[in-house]
Amino acid sequence: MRPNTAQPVSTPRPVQKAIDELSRLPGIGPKSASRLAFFLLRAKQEQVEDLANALLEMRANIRFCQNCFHITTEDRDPCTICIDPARDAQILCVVEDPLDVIALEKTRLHKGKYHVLHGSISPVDGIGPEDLRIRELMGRIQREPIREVIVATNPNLSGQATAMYLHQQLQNTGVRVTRLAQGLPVGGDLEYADETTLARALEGRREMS
Amino acid sequence: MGGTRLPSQLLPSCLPPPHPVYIRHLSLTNFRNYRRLEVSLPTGALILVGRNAQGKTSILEAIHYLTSASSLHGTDRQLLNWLAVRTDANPFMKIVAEVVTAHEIRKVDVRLETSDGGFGKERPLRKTVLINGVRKQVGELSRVVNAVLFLPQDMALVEGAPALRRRYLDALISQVDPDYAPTLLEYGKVLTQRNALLKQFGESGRSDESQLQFWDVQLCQHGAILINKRARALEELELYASRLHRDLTGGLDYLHLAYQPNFDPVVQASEQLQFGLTVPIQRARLAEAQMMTSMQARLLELRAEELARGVTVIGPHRDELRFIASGVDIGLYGSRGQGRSAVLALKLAELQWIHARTDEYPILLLDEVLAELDSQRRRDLLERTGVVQQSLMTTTDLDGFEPAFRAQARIWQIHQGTVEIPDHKR
Repeated sequence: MRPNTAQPVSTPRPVQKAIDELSRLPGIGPKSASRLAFFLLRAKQEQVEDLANALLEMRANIRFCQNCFHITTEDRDPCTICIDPARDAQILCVVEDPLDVIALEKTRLHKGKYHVLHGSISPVDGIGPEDLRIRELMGRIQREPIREVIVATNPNLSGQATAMYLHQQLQNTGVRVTRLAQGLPVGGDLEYADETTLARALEGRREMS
Repeated sequence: MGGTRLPSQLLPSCLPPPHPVYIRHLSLTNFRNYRRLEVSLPTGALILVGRNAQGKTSILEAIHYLTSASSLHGTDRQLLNWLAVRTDANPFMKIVAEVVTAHEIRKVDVRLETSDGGFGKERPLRKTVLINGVRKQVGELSRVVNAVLFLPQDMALVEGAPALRRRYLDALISQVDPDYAPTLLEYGKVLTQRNALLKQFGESGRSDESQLQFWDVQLCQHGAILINKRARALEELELYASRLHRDLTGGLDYLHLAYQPNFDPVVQASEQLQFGLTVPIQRARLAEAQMMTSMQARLLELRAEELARGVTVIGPHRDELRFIASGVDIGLYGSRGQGRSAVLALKLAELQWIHARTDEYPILLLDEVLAELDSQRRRDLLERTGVVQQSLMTTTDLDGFEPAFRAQARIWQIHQGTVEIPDHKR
């Protein structure tokens, strides 16, 4: 048998570069990245341009609100929530991410304003309180007529660490500090809930009305 | 249930135990060196004979995996059949067993499937536990079936590294206490975060009490639960182990299992002292609240040291389990033979302890252990295994078993991943 002397063909550089960039996105591995790259390679020129422009435009026009750090557009800073006179300026809901604001807004139940921390305390990842928008939060509490802070960080370890830290910082400000209730998911089954969740639900039980 | 039940290992093996639990049928798919295996398992003693690397231990491992869904190899990936990993697009493995319990027959199904996310061989594995076809949490497995696994490397338990003994204790308690493993997991997460914070503060030279406080509380909350459960388990185990040990050694030594936390859970912070071997273990059996308070106080005292070293220096991750006979720590000063007697007593005590806690005898799995024992200890071990409803033992050499034992056991040959079952009965 003759040895195979043919040179193996590698992916052309521009394609490989696109794959590498795509695979840096969260949730996209090298396989999905190549699928996306080859899809875009076959797609119409306009489609690719639209995507590229959409991304650039998003970066150019979207920024974080100078007041609450939720996402907003360049021409609306402070954001629409911050300047809305119908919003209750006395209640402030503190969340980890802009996505949390969007989730809470869907409930239409929170009539107050928001403050986005952009993360949660996690020493392993090197994220401490000074890396979050906590100094800005303290500034708002001095400036604005806030009477209640709703701590809506995630009910996991680093969300709890953040909540505890906020609680300590806010202790002597005279502001009421509340935490979102924890317990059973709506539509869930008691028997499938883990013990910690059930225990929290029991602790947080309420009078029926 | 309770710690005061007396060992009943002297029951003649012909009497059936009060609550039979055994595996009636075992089915393996892509597990270790088995592409596929369907076997009906007998009750009583079953000896698996074969040369090395034929698949004897895999059968024991599969049964052990059914009790905890945690692998002896540390990673689950190694449980997948290597041929399946190489040839299948989505390699998976499956263990299904029919478990006969006092009131019903339960079907336990544990699967590892390669999930779609990621790519290549490193795609994450998804673990699924089904009991009677209903999805359950991993912790539920221990409520269905328990096993005592005795491996040749267990012989080193007494003189080996402290981490070995902690891991042993953790695995054992997880079997009978579904709350234990989640607490251990949470403790590990808190420990990692706390160590990172200590390191960061230590390096930068500026510490922030308000940040440390949360991790202190979390560490002590979970830590106190773990210490309490470990101390209690050892206290109960000692009851059985010391008795068995006396039988095994001809009444020479009293075996004492000491749980030794590395801070004194009783003494107030100001009176902290390093305490020696003779501290009664009951001292560790305090209300969790008190233990938590003393641990927290001790952490405050150790603040400067912990910041300098960048690690958490006290807590269950540093605690010791000691085997003490006649006032001497066997791990440090004992002979090899003393160590073996202690391990043997401990392993047999596990059977009794699990029985006391769950009201059911576990399945006994002995992997090549007889080769590690002299003929007297071999006899002692086999004599006392009669209480369990089902036991599986592997060996390369049938001569390790007494003719009388062989006569009442089933003997299967294992050869290159196939099981040869002789069709004659007895």
